[in-house]
Amino acid sequence: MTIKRVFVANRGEIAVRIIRACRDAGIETVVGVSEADRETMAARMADRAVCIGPAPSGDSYLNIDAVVTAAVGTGCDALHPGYGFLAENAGLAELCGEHGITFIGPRPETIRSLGDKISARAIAQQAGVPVVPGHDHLASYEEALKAAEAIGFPVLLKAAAGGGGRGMQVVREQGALRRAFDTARAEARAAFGNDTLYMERFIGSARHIEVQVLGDRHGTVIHLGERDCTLQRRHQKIVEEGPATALSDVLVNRMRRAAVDLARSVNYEGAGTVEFIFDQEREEFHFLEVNTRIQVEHPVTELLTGVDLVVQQLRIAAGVPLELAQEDVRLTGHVIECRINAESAAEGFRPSPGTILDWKAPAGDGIRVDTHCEAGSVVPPFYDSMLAKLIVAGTDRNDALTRMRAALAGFTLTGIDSTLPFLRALLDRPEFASGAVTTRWVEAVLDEPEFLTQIERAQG
Amino acid sequence: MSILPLTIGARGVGLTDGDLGQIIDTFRHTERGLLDLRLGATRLRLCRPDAQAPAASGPVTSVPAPFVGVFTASVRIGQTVGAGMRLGRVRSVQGEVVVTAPHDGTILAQCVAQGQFAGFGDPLFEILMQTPDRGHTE
Repeated sequence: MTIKRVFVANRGEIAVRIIRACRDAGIETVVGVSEADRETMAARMADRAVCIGPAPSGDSYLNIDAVVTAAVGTGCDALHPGYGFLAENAGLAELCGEHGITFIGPRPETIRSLGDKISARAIAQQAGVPVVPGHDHLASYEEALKAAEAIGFPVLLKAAAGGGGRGMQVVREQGALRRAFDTARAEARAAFGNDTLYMERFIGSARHIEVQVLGDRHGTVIHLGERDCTLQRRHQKIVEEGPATALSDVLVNRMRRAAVDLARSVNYEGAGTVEFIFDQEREEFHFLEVNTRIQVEHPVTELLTGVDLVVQQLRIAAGVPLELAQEDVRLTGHVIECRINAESAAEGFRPSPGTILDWKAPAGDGIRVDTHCEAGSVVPPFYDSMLAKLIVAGTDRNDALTRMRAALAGFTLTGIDSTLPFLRALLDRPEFASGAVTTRWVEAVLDEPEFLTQIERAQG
Repeated sequence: MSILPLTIGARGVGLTDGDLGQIIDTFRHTERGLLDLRLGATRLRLCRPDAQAPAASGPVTSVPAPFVGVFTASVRIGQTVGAGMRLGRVRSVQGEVVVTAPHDGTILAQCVAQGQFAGFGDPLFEILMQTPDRGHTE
């Protein structure tokens, strides 16, 4: 089976990225655009652009009926969902299948089983992948005490029924457990009408590390190394890099193997990412979740390995066996990626839609910019605010960091606010260079008044 | 009857003048308001003001597709329509949306051929707005 015409069910830089990969592979593209995106770079680059609905994404990019109808109506034989929007929607994958369109991604049942947190945790456990130690259905203090002793303090107590931080308590020692248990229980009852509690180990000093995997239809699964995405704000990644430098080689290898074991256990087909939380104090990693799509930060892996992941996705979807063997995968040097968003960091990351006036992205050896923006581009208020990804490769981490600082300094962007000043200030922090960071570090830095002054200064 | 416009070089895809003449003749004898032919990267678009349709002497509005899908018209060129009247439908893979007249008027042109795919917002019809002093009948 070959793919002749791909429907791109996304927008922004990833739509441009997919169109480019298809063009290089001699595959035609049709991009589905909302009314607000008719004049975008992706619309210009694709062989054809078709409007799928009004600007709000619920009426266009998130409308499965509109997306599949447009793919069928324009004679496409495959659909690439990109990331975000419908990328991890098993219903889209299913509807594509019903209409003879090859969904470029895992099978619907894989998306569904890994998309559900509880079933994903069970799959990980079954594959022998460590999960965050936890205990469900705590009905009494005695049970909670037993669980806490097994898990080890500090522990996190939360409502089994809910999320969002309500009824959540960090308990650092046994003496504080009874009171925390009673409080968490009362809050859970009040908030969710159900006082069953869940306990898991509280990881105070965590890093987010994820392993890129590729699986084909013929049972081959390989990994392409890992990315460290510890720098986050409100669970949104800000800076990603690879390979991981915070873990020993033994642990890195174990983590890579765990990711492959998990993917193989579900006959994973396509590109995917197995995310782990790394406990820096205990030097242990635990499974978090699997993302069954191409990820924003995939260029880190591409620059490290020289493998084009979108091309691999197309080949896998066409049923072609992976040509790449595990021993062919080599990670060379160090790569850092920064996400540049249309937001004003100095004003609480207020979104800043509008028209870009000047746009001059850095270029040169080891620098890659994935973007859909240029001078004159309009950033609509309806969507994700990412403008570009700046990816820089160096011989080692220090070299990559030096080059990234220079690249950020050389990036000109006017007309709208961007996170460039924030990124410049953040990457100047000594903690980033030394690696003394956790998943909570960025938020802590943002609480420092001096840091905000620094951003304003970087703004010029 | 004028046939306008014949866009881009259809000859580029190997159509001879004879082929073109035949296509145009066939088009002339159908009741279609529009022929939109795509051959690879080449597009041949033939349309005409219908013989039965009145000359456009008032404001003309277009009726956009309310959803993506396959279009079927249920009115004919020259037909008088009232606001809210069903003009056709757009069929998607999971459903169907009815196309209605935005105001009173006369159908001047059908812009997407019967059974063809239309994108969201693509013009489906052109309607000559009814003015009180000058009504049109079939």
